[in-house]
Amino acid sequence: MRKLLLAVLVVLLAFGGFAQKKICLYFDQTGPGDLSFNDMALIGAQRAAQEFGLELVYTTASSPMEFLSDLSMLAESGEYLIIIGVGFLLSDALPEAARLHPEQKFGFVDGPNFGLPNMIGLLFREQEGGALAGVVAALTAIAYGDPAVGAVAGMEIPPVWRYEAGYRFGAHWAVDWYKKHTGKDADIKVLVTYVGRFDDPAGGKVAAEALIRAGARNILGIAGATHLGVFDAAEEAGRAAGLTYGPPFGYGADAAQEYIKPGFILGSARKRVDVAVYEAVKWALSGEPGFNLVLGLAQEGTGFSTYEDLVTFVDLAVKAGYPLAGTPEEVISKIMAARQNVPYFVWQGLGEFMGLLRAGAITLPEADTAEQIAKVREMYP
Amino acid sequence: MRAFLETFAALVLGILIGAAIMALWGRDPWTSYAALFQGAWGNTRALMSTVSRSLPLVLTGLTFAVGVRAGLFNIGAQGQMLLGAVVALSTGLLSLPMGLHLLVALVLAGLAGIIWALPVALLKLFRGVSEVISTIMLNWVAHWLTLFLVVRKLSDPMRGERTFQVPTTMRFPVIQGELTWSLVASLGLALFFYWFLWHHAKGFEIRAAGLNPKAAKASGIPVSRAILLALLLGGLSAAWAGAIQVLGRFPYAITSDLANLGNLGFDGIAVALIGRNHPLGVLAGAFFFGTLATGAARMGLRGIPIDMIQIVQGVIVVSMAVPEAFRLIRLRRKREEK
Repeated sequence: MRKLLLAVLVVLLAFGGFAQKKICLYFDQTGPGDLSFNDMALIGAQRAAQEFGLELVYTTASSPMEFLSDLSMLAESGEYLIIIGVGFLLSDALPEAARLHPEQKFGFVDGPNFGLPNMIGLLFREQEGGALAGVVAALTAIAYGDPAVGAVAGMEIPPVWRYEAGYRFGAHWAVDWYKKHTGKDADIKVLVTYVGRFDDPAGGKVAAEALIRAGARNILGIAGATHLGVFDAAEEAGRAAGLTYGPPFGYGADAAQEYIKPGFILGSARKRVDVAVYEAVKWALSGEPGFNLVLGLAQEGTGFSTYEDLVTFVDLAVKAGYPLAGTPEEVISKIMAARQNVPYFVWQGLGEFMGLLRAGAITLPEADTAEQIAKVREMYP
Repeated sequence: MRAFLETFAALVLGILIGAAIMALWGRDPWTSYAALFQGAWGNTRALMSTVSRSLPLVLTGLTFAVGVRAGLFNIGAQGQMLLGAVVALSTGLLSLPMGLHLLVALVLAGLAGIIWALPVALLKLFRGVSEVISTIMLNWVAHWLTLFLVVRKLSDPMRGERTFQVPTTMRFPVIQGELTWSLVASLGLALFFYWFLWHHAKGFEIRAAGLNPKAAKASGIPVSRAILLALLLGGLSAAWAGAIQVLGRFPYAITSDLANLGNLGFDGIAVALIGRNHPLGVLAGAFFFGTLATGAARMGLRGIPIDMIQIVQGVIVVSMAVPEAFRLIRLRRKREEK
């Protein structure tokens, strides 16, 4: 009898322990509510929690001074199946915490796994989304007679460099493609401004206004919340000129952000952070040693926003209480109308580029270090 | 004793207002507060993290406190802290033996803070420029200068988001967890300030100048020298705050947005007000600040968004700073009436 009781107790404890296991997301700054990077991580975690029957909790750093103590606090509790750090700025604290707590599994969105067995690195081929946006931006610029395209970037870190490198490459590819197909001459400069922060929409707007004055009316935002200012600047400049559709056009990153300023955002360089987070949870359940998961076009981890993406993110915005400029249907039809407004050859170019990229006929430049990005900037001015 | 009770009452009031805010948004305030303190003091590791987080705040708190004691409103700690940090980091470009390297870094950082405080003192004493104006302006100069050096000159070529890491010869040795021997630099300076202000003639001059400059002057106390000394000591202390943040705390570098130096300088003002501008009170104020910062993430796990945490903590801090702020205003008014 006593043995039986003991056995029941052990089983209960074991199951209790298992059922308590949670997914924990740790955001390096701002947290959910950005309708982009952070919210996508949350969506991925929610899907995983639902499918695998896990509980989900998350918290946000109050400043970088707390990274290490926060991660230690989470790890030593032993409550979490996996702790997923969301954001490149955790590049020092996350591997340190993983070294200090080898029994705890970690995931790192936007960073490598540093060769640690208890960590999965979740990386993206940002070049691909950036290049697709670069092709569209440059062809649109050519169509409207602009001398340049622009980008407003956050901090000088590898994920942003990779976006920039792809964007530059894509813009130059588009110019060559246009020349080859039409026999006409074209020249597009790529102007990139680094604001230095990811949470400064006002700074992003100032940067975008300067780019528009310099003739770059197609601007990619690769600066998190900072590049929300790019959309403001594009819409304001457009409205001032009496337009309901761009150019000027902003381009979003990570999420499909067109609904933020419908008509003045032509597309977005997609990066499926949600897929990465979902895969990280799957890895944690598998018991395999850590590795780097690299998501690209082939896994639908990167891309140029599609109609389905628009619907998904408009839906998300509605759920989050974001004040849309009209009904969801109106917003989506306005976004699609903006796309139909630009000359068809823009989409022809995008289609051809995407086909070549998928077939492996195009090699995009790497930009993981300062030296590499310097070289890219020189090659594709 | 009365001061202590006042601050305690203010703390209770702040906590209650914070609780009301959380309750209003449908969160349970008491489990949230419990999570906060558990996150900050729950075990040895947490306590070490909290103390380590507090140490630079002690030093910037001292800067403001010693200023107030001399009748000044010195808000230059932020700029001096940034310069101290970047000078300490730059010392890492030299190669010196263990220990000596750390010492040299501290001396150079301290000098940088003193040099940055000197124009404030000279402008005040010879031109009558309010230290409030000059420190605000110098803070911005220091901010952009530091940002330029960090991004353009000292960044890690492999890691765009931060500078190179301080070489091990220049780091404070670890005591346990996140706590390093920067503890001695911080507590030592606080004790020195206490001894100096209350047990040394020149410290007495500072306090006399602050209480009533005319009476002090009439009784032969060199008020100008007292003001100069208070500003320079403040500069040294603030610069060391930046230095120990870089030399004594992970990741032993400066991030490219200066976010791991944050608002240590400005937070020092609140720390000093909570601590009643007394060096020992500053210790308590800084520890309280460190507690709020370190416990925040655990509070977040309770489903409280970071913005609300910051509002609640802001309310508590402001509430605790109010009694001393009022006292200072009353003091200033009285002085002006005379």
